[in-house]
Amino acid sequence: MNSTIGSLGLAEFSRVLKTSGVTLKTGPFSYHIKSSLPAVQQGLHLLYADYALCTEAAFADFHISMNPVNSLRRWVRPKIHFCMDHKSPFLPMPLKQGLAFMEWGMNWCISNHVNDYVKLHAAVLEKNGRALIMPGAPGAGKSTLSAALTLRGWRLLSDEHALVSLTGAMVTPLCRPVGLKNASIEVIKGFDSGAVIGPLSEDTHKGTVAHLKADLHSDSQSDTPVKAAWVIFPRYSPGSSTRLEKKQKAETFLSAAKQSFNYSLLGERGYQSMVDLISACDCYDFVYSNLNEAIETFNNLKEPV
Amino acid sequence: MIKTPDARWRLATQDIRLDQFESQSAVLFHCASGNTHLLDLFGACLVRFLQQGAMQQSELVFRVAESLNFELEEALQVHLETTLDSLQRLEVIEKL
Repeated sequence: MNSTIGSLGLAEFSRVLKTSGVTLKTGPFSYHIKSSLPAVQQGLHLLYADYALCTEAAFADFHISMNPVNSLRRWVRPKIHFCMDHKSPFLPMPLKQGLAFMEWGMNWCISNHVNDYVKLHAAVLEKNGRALIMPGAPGAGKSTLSAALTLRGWRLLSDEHALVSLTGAMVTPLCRPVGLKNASIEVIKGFDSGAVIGPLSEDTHKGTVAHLKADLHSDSQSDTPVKAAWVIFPRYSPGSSTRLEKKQKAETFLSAAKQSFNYSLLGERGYQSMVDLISACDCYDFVYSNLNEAIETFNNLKEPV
Repeated sequence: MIKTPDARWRLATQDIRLDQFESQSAVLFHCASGNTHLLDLFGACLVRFLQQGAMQQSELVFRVAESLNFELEEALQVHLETTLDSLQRLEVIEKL
């Protein structure tokens, strides 16, 4: 049996991450990560504890490093930079935002460099072999909802990218921690006292950010594609009653395509992928304020005919 | 009823994809531009008829109304004319 990241003590993991680096496989992609930052070392060790540990030189899709900026910044308002394949695509960020920066950088690698799928900005969950896709603009409440569903037995396939096959309406899992923002962090802590939540990254451009360990299912590490069954646009609305309303498929198509990173780039192949997806799925708008009611609603979803 | 100028319409390109879902609205992909458009029931029906060949506007609107079981009243006629104009602007159809 392969050892896991968590099977190494934090001190040893940190040493390896700082020196030779670690190859982390998530879904169909692997990242080779090096970092000397304690916040990143601790965060990865906690949130990816059950991922396979690979310290040998292995193929990686993305080579990432996160280290302090070498200048006066080392002492005055220290900053860090994110490198992918030895290039730094972003301006340096404050040291205290290290883990959030790492997660955003990992997302960016997929958003900007992968075109084997139609990529929708969406949370994806699975139950009984069927995938639920929840596209949505930031702030719609999809991460909070996907965190709650994950903590109640749904399997998280992704919190950020729905990787939709070019034919056949299949979604490839890409399970990584769920990014929670601001009030959602306390909401999820209150929702499930067993939730494992990583260190806070404060004062980011999205406010305070923390990540939920989300590989809670026995198949969490699997990258076997899952048949899509539902496309649901969630919207958190304080005080609202729970409402699941059918959404016209053509309208769903356009709304989902707007949330895609590469639909336009893929041209007719992207269009066909979306036709397959929308044809295979039941489509809804969903408004909620109560997580338990939301979960009950989703648990009662019927498979498309 | 308004008087419809009897233009003759045809598809501006055969290189389009039209997919209708649950007999309701449809999406149209314009392969040359890469743009995707949302069409209502009537727009989808107009394009379907024009996929069969060029047609006079009077016949086109009559056949659309008939196939969808609508009376060809003024409001529908105006809507179809507006849709034809929109499809022309999108370079999906053109006047002969």
